[in-house]
Amino acid sequence: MRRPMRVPDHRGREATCVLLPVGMAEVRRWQDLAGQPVRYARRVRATADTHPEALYARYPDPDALARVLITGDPEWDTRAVGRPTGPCARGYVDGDGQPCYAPRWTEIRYDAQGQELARRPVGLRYANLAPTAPPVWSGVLIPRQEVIRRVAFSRAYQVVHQDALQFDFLYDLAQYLQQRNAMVQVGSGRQGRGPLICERHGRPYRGFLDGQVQAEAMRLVLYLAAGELVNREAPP
Amino acid sequence: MPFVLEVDYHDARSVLLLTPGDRVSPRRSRRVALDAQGRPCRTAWQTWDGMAVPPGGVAQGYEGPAGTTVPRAEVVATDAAGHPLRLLPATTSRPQRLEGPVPVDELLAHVITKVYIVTAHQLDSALRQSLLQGDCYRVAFRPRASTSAPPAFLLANASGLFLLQAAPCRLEWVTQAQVVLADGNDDDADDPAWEDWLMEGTAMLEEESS
Repeated sequence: MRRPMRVPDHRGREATCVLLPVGMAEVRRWQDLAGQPVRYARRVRATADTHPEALYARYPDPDALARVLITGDPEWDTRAVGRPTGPCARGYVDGDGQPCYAPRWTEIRYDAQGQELARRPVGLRYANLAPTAPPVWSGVLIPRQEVIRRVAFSRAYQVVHQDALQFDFLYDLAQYLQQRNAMVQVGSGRQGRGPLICERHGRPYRGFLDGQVQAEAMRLVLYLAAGELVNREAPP
Repeated sequence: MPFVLEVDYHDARSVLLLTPGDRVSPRRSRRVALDAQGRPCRTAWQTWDGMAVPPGGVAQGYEGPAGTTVPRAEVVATDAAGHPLRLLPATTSRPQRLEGPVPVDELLAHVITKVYIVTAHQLDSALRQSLLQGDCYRVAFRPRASTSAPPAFLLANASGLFLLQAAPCRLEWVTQAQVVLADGNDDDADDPAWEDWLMEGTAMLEEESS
């Protein structure tokens, strides 16, 4: 997935560039004992209508469910079972196992023992990589040596250009960061330090840009950190 | 379950107890999707033609060229050239050699897949001093036998010692001629490239974003 992102720079300019997921460098393939290639596959086993939960909801009486399982095979959808799933989007099923197209998003707060304290409705959490308002340069430069000891980067995207003007923009930014041997925090909000959300209802991340240049080439990487390196049990 | 990692640094041995970072404390708040009756929804898959596939509704396995199922025990991992990979033993039962200090760029050429909080059962003083100065070390760490050998990095901050299990990623130099176009702004699609890791601070970010 190549997502657009509005990237601010130290001179108050911004450009809508492309985030390229940096794939894992290790390439794995599989074969069987005879040396024939083997591939990983996902196939449909049950749908929202044939899943056990849906059947329990439809036939609450166990005897009736047993009878209909023997006579009608409701757990078996011949048009769907065994079909490759292909690329899938995220969806939700309700308590009865039926598709829920408009779930109500709620925040549940817990105490230290894990007991529920309160619930409050929350709105949609939109992706904010390409906001309508121009993003703000946070100005928070953190030495590279220090930032790797503060947070753990669980995602990395290479920021690439869509045209030559964007390349110049990104090259300048990468050079600026390389000269300072630092990463800059990028994010949402008025100060440019808020969390970044890559997909709707996705997890919020802290974003950091790291830049390097080498002759005519540049490498600008957006690192996303879901959490901080904190040991809560450490003695003060 | 905590792991024990023994490392050798300049002929001195240190014994480290590793606790998975995401199990240290529970999150204090959670965002959930509720249905019309107030019951929690569960994440499902939606196929390209709109069919909802609930959790547990997908069978996963390996298939041969003709579409026949291949049992997991008969599947052999190979490299890109098709050479079978050797099964490497777990590293938890024997001492490992620390390499480094490694440059920052080496760690930044990886993404972190797992964080362990380190309790030093026995820590060499020279190693402790080096870690407190901000040095970072690479060590082989496989909790169980595996065909892949991703490195782990040992580092420290004011809060304590950490071991970061990492996976190498493919960073490339980009020139002006390498133009890439965006796929479009599909906010609903998850990024299949990442298996996210959760740890301390996530709840705080959740609060900031709501």
